[in-house]
Amino acid sequence: MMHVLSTGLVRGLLGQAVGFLLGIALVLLGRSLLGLDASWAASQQPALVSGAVVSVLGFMLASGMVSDWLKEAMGQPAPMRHGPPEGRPKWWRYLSVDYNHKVIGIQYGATSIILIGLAGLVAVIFRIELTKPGIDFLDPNRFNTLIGWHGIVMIAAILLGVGGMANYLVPLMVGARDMAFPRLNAFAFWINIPGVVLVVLALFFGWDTGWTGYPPLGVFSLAGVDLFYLGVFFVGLSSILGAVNIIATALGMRAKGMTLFRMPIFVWSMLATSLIALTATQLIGLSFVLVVLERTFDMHFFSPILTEHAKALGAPPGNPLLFQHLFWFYSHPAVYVFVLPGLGIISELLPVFARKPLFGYKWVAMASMAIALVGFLVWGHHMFTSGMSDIMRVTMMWTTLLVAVPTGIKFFNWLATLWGGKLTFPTPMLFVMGALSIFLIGGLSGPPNGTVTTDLFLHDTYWIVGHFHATMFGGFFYPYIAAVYYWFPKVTGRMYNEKLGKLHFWLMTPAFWAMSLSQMMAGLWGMRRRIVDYDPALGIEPFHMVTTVAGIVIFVAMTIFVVNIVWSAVKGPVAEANPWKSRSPEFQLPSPVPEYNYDRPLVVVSNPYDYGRPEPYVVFASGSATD
Amino acid sequence: MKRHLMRAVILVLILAGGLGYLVYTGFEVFVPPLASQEGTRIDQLLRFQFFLIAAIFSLVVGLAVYAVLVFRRRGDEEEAGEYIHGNPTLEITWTVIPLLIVLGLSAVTTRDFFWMRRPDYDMVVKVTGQQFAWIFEYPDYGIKSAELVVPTGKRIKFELQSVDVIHSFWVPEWRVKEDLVPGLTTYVYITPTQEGEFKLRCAELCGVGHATMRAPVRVVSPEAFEAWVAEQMPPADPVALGEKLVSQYCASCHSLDGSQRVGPTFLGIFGREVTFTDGTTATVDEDYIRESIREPQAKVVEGFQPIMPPFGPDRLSDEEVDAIIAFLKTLEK
Repeated sequence: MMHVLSTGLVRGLLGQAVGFLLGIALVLLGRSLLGLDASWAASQQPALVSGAVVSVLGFMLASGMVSDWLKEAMGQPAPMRHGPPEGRPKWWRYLSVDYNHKVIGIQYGATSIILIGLAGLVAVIFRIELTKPGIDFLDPNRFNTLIGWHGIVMIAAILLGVGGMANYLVPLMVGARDMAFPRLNAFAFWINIPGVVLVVLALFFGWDTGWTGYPPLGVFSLAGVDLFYLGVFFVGLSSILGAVNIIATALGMRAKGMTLFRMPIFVWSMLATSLIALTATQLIGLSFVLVVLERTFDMHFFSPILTEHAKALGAPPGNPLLFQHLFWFYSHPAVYVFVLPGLGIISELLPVFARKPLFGYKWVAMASMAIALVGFLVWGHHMFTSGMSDIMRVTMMWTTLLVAVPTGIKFFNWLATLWGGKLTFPTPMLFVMGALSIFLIGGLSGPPNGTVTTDLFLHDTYWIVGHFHATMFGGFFYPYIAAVYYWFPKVTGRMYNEKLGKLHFWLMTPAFWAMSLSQMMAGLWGMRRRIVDYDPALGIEPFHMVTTVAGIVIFVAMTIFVVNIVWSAVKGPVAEANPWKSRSPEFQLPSPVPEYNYDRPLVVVSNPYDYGRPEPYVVFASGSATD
Repeated sequence: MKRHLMRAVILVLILAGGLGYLVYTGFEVFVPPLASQEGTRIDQLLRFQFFLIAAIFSLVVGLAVYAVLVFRRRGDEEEAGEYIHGNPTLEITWTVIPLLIVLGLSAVTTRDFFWMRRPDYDMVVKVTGQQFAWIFEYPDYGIKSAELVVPTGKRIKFELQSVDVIHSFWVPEWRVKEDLVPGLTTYVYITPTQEGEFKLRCAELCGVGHATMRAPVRVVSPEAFEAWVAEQMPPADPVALGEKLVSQYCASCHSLDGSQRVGPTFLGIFGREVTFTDGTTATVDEDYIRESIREPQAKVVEGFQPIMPPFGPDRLSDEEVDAIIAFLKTLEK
């Protein structure tokens, strides 16, 4: 019990609660000193904003995340601590601040799976509401809160999942002993937790804008919207800091002989991803902070309807489209932050299970970079119906459709990798093939939304819902699940249950296909997004029935997945060091991976995916690593 | 190897034939009936893209399924697959062909889009969106209506404005949609081609009443449209005027038949005892209704959210408020 209370997580959460109350008290005190109305009804909005900001400080201070930095700032030595905690049980370090990249990777991964479960559960709740027309048990405000919550929590979960894979794998794959900046790495993880707590709190106060938070609706929305905006801000901060670390590690800490074109392909995709996350995330953070300022201090950035107070000050009206430009300048590239790592996992795993080199390695690597760069110039396709100028709409269409080219390159290279291989289909490979099939429908349903005229019809319908769920499942969730099964023996030293893994796949894949296609059909027949109730005259009830049932099956399948990995991590059979006969450096290590990864420096002597060639990818230099 | 490729190509062709036939025969089932001239270009392009999707889908799935079925490891053999690193000719082929396809798609769409947005039109309808209702004004005729009535064969410029948050103007059968952005006037051109009854649906999340923010749309012959215009002069009878105003401004949130919507029902509202969120109570009378229209947040009935927008004299004159009151008095239980 004492061990639980002493974890960074529990201390941080207590610190956050104290910080929250302190922040609220500050505002109430300030308002009463200034002679303003300090009742809760009048002060709730600024009080919650202040509480939210101070609560994050409270979490970071109490969790111990910044203790070393504070010590150093005061001139005291703060040596880097590595290794299992002394005098504590083994699990303790996973719930506390720890600087080992593998611990942080697991922290990211576990948090992401918990959030996927919560956001999935919320989806099941509102899917049940939508099975039939009419409002059955969710009032419209609660429905709107839940759809926004589902969206943003899934996005946070995906970012955390990407963080998990990147943290665990990139240092191992480049032959490093840890990330370039281990403390920053821990900070980037821990700042997520208070951010996510704020988003969870937003659920109880309610907000009705969906995950996009568009003003002016966001400006007039319920009290939960501030917590949502600020929570996302901190999750975004994590993304930026994480990206710094990945780029520094991939560019600066590669083993001897590992030229850029000899890196494992997943490292390439993480490099492309991190370039986006490092440079675009600021825009969503900025746009969300501006709305909070607009709500709190009456600054009219986005809302053209001025309050009396603002009119008296002579403020110019705000522009709602400005927000959409800022928002999508990140939130479109963010899609590539989600899927590039997933596509990297597909490229990484296919050669292992085909026993063949990755076809067109350089083309696949460059396709990731091309997607990342073109992705910066396509944000306007989310705004084809927004009232944006005609020229801008057409320009954004030409750039948008270009994304199909590098995506196609990846697909064809994957097919060529399969061709003539010696394929086997254990669970990770099944999920890679599932990813291919689902990302294919996600990708092919894209161009109709990319060409302006057809998008005028499809925009904001369930066609779009079907489209992006397919890209997210095929581009992130399936590869992520494949990665969890594939590296499970490496991470835990035990093997997952193959039968449950296959059951998971064969339940989820047909269900997902049925869900996607029925969503798209409902959209074509006139089903709008984000409505709690639909017109029975549209005749779309059967599609909704299929979507709901399929959604529940997917939830059940994911529950089987979680049961499998949790049970197997404790009780599973002991795994061999290299169950997949992979050439990747981490599989040349014992399982689980030792504290400092490699006790001798790696030397890269050939290409990463030369299956069928006798010479290995890496050899270990003689002598010990002494950094 | 050639034999494998031949067989796979046959599989691809069979798939493509089947899916192509599905798109060919089923396209009219996939989308609602088309009812505007602008939509013809959209349906053409969408149909073409569905064929394209069928073709690419067949290509990828055909090759992948063939590989999965044929290139499997048999028994316990440990040997590796063929040692092929890549093929520059293939890479260039599958870079250039998709590039040409997307450039072609962009070019065709650019042409269609500017055709749809060309600035010539026969009449103007001003559309105002507010949480959670639609108002249509016909400046050429001086008419305001809660129902959108338009003639066939005329290219109509819809000028779109919002008084509060972003809404979106969409009739699925007309295909095109366009947002209503507060502070801006946006526009969309539509030439209705089919007579009939449709529904305008708000397509941008606008708050608690978004799902039911709909308006009836009636497309009629030009002659019937002229007749409708003649009928639309504001009624002299206050009860009839009130009924019209209520259906225009209030009915999307306040039902007339006792059913539950975002706001309290109007059925039997006069003389009803109401409890407010601050615990006080009152009997509904003329003054209370007047206040609820002008300053809705002053007293909010328990169990409802304080979300009703205020209606000042610039939107409803004193006479119009009196007419609404006269109509509400007739709604006895």
